[in-house]
Amino acid sequence: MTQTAITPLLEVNQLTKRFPLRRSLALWREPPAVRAVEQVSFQINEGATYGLVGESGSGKSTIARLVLLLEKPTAGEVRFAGESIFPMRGRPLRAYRSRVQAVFQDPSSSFSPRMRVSEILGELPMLHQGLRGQARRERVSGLLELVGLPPAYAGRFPHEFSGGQRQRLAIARAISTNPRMLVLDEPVSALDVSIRAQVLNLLADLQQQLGLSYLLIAHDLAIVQQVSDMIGVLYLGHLVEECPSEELTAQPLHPYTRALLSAVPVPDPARRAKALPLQGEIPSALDPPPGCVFHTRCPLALPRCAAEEPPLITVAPHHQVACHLVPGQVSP
Amino acid sequence: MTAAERAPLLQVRDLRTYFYTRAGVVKAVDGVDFAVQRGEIVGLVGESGSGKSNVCLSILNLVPKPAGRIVSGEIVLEGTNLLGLSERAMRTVRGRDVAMILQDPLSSLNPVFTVGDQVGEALRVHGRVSGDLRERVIGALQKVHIPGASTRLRDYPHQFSGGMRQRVMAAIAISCAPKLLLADEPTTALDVTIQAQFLQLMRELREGDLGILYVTHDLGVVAQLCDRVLVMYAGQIVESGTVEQVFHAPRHPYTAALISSVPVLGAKRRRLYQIEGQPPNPLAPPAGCRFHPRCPQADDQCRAAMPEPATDGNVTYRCWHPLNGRLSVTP
Ligand SMILES: Nc1ncnc2c1ncn2[C@@H]1O[C@H](COP(=O)(O)OP(=O)(O)OP(=O)(O)O)[C@@H](O)[C@H]1O
Ligand SMILES: Nc1ncnc2c1ncn2[C@@H]1O[C@H](COP(=O)(O)OP(=O)(O)OP(=O)(O)O)[C@@H](O)[C@H]1O
Ligand code: SF4
Ligand SMILES: [Mg+2]
Ligand SMILES: [Mg+2]
Repeated sequence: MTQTAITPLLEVNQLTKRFPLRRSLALWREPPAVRAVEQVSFQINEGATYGLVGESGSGKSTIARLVLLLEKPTAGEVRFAGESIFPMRGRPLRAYRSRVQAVFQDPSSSFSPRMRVSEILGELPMLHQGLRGQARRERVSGLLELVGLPPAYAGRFPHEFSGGQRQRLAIARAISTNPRMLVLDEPVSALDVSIRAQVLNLLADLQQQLGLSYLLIAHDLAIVQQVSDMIGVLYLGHLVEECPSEELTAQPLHPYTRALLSAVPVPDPARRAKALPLQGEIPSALDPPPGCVFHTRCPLALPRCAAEEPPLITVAPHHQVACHLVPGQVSP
Repeated sequence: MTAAERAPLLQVRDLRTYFYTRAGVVKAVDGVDFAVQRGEIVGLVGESGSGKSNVCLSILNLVPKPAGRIVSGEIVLEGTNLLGLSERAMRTVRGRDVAMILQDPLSSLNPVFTVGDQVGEALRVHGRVSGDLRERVIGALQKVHIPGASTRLRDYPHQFSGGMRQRVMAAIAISCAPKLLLADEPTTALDVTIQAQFLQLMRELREGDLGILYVTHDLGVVAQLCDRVLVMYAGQIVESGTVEQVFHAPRHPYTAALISSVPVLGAKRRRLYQIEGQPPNPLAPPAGCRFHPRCPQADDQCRAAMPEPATDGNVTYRCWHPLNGRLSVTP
């Protein structure tokens, strides 16, 4: 495969994160822990978008926080342009922080209310590139223009903006360090329906113009599919399926992926869901089911599923699934 | 069939609910007309601030006072204009005829009483207890598919997941066998698989005569669940009709644009259609058609005068230049 020749920009290898509970009653036993992320691996190529989907608590934000060095891993590594990020200190660490920036769901909470747009957008270019005075002002205007805001807004405060405009501002700040990758954690979920398309299109345009890579996290499958090249499906901290974005709807293989897809309400009354919804709820990450983590809700589960954890196997180029029935009884 | 039975369950006419704030008057609901039939699920869809919640609050006469006031209109439930009732009579209507489910069930459930107590209380208040209350509570919880109902009734609300809490709310809401259920974004905070379970529950509940007004900003939920839809923009219903008509042949440019801007699973597009501009400032909505600053077809007439609702077949819309019945906005 020619694909394998390309070094991925971001490599996540066997990443694991457990949050131990404070009080451990029995010191001699392993303290109980929330298993947020369990041995997750994936790669993001230069200029590509990797979408992570999964329900609440599946570990999406924890992975984002690990990649952003806001959290320490329990095990595993993340490599950026070949360099392992967790051991980074000093100059390489500062460089990594400017190369990988983030946009979160609620932009208002991440702005200091007393800072003007010119300061918000000028801060990082000053710190990272030493831009001052006229050069800094020009950079701020340029950033505003890139995200479709009038340069005249440089003197305004964040609270004078609408939700959609504030998200544009958050994107402008994220690209102000000339990053190579953006981590986007639910970037449009807080926005009005009519504004979401504007922001998604802006992200697509910036990716084209600046050659950015994205790690996109969202619970809305249609949005993730619209934007992503590759998609990873998480369930209780486990990556259960990974495939190119087109194959997600054309050839979903994992029973959870299928259930998730059929639960998405399609905005077309001629395509009403026929399948009965998935029963039950996501089990606690404190005490995840043994064997396949999905077996307690899986309509196809066999006795083996409760006992043995299915490995992630490659079923087609770039398509991986962790299910005992694949390949096998699950017809494509 | 008597005339009263043929008349809609709920008929809302020219409803206007305004907020008198220091900064000015917010016309949260501004001349809204619609009906809900028995056994029908009507979707009320619109963006944040379009007035959806205030339509529901107006029906229950619970608009926050003193700033908020219903300034005109009629809300007729089975022949009775609710706006003419005393607060006392209205309290009976709220408990017995009209029930409501909100987005955040934790705010409506009492944290210090068990779920069983709260469902039991709802059953008792409405005088629907014959026989063993415990059995009735278990029955009510089973009806909304809460697993292990006989043991779970001893649990407190915080011990329930979001999806289960919403089912408890549904159990309480239907405990009085209401005629009309108002559901205000009940699944917005839920995961899709849990939302799908809740939508299934809604479908089961309306098999009877229950009429449901289902508020959401999710067009997908409307398409999957509802019989008819009301599209709200800046305090007005700009289009209404059966879901088939509105989704497949929208007449109002806003409806068409909204439908086109939503990504659809399995149909990746290079770019999404995008509605330009921002939702209007509630304190100073645009003159004329409220959508005109964002409408690709707006002309002088649209800027000058507000279009009145016009009906064509089973669709009603407010637009000077209605689309010709095809999804005709192109990205
Ligand atoms: N600091 C923490 N301490 C303990 N547990 C945590 C912490 N952060 C996250 N968790 C737990 O880790 C699991 C994964 O959480 P995470 O926030 O990554 O999920 P998510 O997929 O982003 O969910 P959502 O869609 O709700 O944002 C959850 O069970 C969560 O409760
Ligand atoms: N107590 C209040 N005082 C002043 N204005 C209010 C008050 N409550 C609501 N409004 C205004 O009334 C308008 C309609 O609000 P409403 O809550 O009905 O909208 P909505 O469609 O339910 O929005 P959302 O999707 O955000 O729930 C908004 O402009 C809102 O700001
Ligand atoms: S009335 Fe005019 S501005 Fe309003 S939606 Fe119709 S065409 Fe557009
Ligand atoms: Mg998250
Ligand atoms: Mg509301």
